[in-house]
Amino acid sequence: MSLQAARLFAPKPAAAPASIGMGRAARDLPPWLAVLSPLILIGAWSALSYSGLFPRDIVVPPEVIWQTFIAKWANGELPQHLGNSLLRLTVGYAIGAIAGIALGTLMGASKQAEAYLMPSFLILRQLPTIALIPAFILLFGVGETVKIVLVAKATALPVALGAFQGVRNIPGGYLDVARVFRVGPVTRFFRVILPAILPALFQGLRTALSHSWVVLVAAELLIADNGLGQMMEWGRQSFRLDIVLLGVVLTGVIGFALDKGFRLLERAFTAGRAA
Amino acid sequence: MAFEPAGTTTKLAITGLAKNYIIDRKPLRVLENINLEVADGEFISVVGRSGCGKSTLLRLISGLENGYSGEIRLDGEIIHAPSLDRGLVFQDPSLLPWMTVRENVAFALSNVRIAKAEKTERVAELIDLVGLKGFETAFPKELSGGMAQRAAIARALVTQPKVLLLDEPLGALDALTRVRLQNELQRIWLKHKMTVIMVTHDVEEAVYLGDRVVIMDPNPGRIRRVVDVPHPHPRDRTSPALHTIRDQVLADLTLGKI
Amino acid sequence: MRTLRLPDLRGLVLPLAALIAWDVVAHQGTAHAYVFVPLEQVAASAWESLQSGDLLNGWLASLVRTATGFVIGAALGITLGAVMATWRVADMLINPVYQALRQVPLLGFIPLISLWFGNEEPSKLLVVSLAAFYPTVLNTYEGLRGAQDRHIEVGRLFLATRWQAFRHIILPGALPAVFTGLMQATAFAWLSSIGSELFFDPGPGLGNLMLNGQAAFRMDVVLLCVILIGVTGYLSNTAITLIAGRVLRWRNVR
Repeated sequence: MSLQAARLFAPKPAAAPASIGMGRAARDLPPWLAVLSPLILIGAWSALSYSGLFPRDIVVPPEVIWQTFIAKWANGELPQHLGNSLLRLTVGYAIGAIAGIALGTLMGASKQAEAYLMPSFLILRQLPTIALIPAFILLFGVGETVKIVLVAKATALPVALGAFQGVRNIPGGYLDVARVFRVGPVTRFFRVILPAILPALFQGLRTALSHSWVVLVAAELLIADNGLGQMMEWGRQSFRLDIVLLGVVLTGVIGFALDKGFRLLERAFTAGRAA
Repeated sequence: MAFEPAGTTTKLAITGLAKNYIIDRKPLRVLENINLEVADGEFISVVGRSGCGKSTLLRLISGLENGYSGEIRLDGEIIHAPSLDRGLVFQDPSLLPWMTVRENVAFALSNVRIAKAEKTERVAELIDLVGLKGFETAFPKELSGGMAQRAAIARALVTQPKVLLLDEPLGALDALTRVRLQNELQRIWLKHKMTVIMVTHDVEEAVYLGDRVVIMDPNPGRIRRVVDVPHPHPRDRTSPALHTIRDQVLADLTLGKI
Repeated sequence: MRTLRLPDLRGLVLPLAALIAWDVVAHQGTAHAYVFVPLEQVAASAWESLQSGDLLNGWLASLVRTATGFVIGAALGITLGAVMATWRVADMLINPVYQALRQVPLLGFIPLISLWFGNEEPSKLLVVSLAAFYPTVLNTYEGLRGAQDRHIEVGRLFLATRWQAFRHIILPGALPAVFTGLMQATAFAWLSSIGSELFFDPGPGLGNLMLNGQAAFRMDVVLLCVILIGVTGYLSNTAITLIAGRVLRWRNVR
């Protein structure tokens, strides 16, 4: 092992003065903590709900939430809600991603296109999707379209940014190599350009996914007759805290799963890449 | 401003120094049986291949690292922690980016009990000494590599240390800047005649500046030979005598076992 | 010879074209008149709202809530981040809970907040405070823990006490990250201030004006509000970026 690396493992000095750093030897918390965190949360929650400090229907014990979950799953309500939400997400995300990739690649590849399109892009970025909900309602009504459009908008912008950065940052050398070897345009795209832009593109796609999931649930809170958000809203109006909490938990779990799943996908696609 | 007057007394005495690192629970011998006596006002250069422990040696002398066997004595007192009577300049100037040059140099005096007026005076003197007058309010980001290193030297000297330790201070600079700073170092040292120990990978630099050149071997780090450079300062870089010594040292370094 | 640098006007082409197309459609048929309102009408209703004070009041109400929530959330966030960075015990206790809660988007908590705290102004303020809280905690924590080894060594060389090290090395080194958190908090606070008006009961605010406009099929009002939301977001972001630029002027932006 090199001397530089060895230095990191030097034994503690004999007469060590009090460390003036922020105890950085403890910087990396043990990994089992990450796995334990939801359990700790549930445990604390359980204790709180049974402590008698709050009425049972204000701080609902985890078991009740679990039972509600089972019940709603068994009678088909939950699968239907989830299915509707995820379907909207998929459709809107697909549309937004394609639009975003097209826009981003165009802006990245052509300085002309960038000059024309970037300012409008930046303006759109300043308009938070949530704030556009009333405007979109007027434009698209309160059916499925408006939700899909909202998801598409929420997706398109981060994806476009990712694609733009990916294309912009292709090392000039790559394209030169392609030219030297007289590689055809199709091959050049799939073997040189696409792999080079994938990391930044994937990052944009991943950001877009979490963002659009949030936007969807928010939209469903306001305008829907089914879906996870709507289920929560209904729970709220009926003062069914267990349903609301179930929705909260599911929103978080699905968001987490989407993000983690996407990271796995990302790793599969960019395997073997130099950092 | 008076530094300690030069003499022939021993300033720094290293006896039987050895150090291990523990890696994967196995000890790695980094330094072995280092014996060195440095006279007051001497300029010692240390050369050696990577992995010979020369940086570790310097860090031990500075007190940043600890846990060694043997003795390191400065003016007869054992060293085991950093102290203001030993200054250290790293290869990376490591100036605090959010402080101006003046603040960076003044930071060294944070724990020196002297009057504020004297602190201000000292800081200004040192900045002038290293040739950075006019850049007192510049941030490190505005400085070139050479200038930053000068500021680091000023910072190390403002506490008036008995020993100045330099760990490959000019290693990250381009050749021209390096030559210029070598001359600067010599000028500053000649003016104040403090004891200096400089680690470098540049043999020419080591021979040009040092009164003695310590040649180290790796695995484990130990002193192979100490070469005298008995020429008066300031020296002529082009002198054939210096070149001979340089060639000797180089031959020594390249001949050793891998 | 110095060439004159005109601002790049090509960027205006698309927005102008869009506006013109909008106006053309608006003047076509009355079929979707309530949606594609003529631009003059937007301007007229802007003037009207300004005069009646509605627009200004609404904007101020949203802004005040944003500022209040930002201050509360950021102050608490910085404090918690600092506590977690300094005491390992606090870190080990709080971090897992924090990580678990982070997974749930803030908007997901809105129905819960609604049931626990009601639908009035306090709940809206809570949402904004939480929105500012999240990014500041994390960034403050990372910033304080991210002190560079070589800077710490400089501190050791000059016998820095714990306080000196904190004041001169760790704290300044953490400021860039803290400001990153504050910038995110600003954006989130404004966004959630508007959002909270959409989700809770009616009350003063820009989002509320927007909802009323939507209910009354007044696209001009809605558009006005959207524009104002965007502009305010942009200005607040610029403001904090400028402040950060000044405080962090020593930063080497490479």
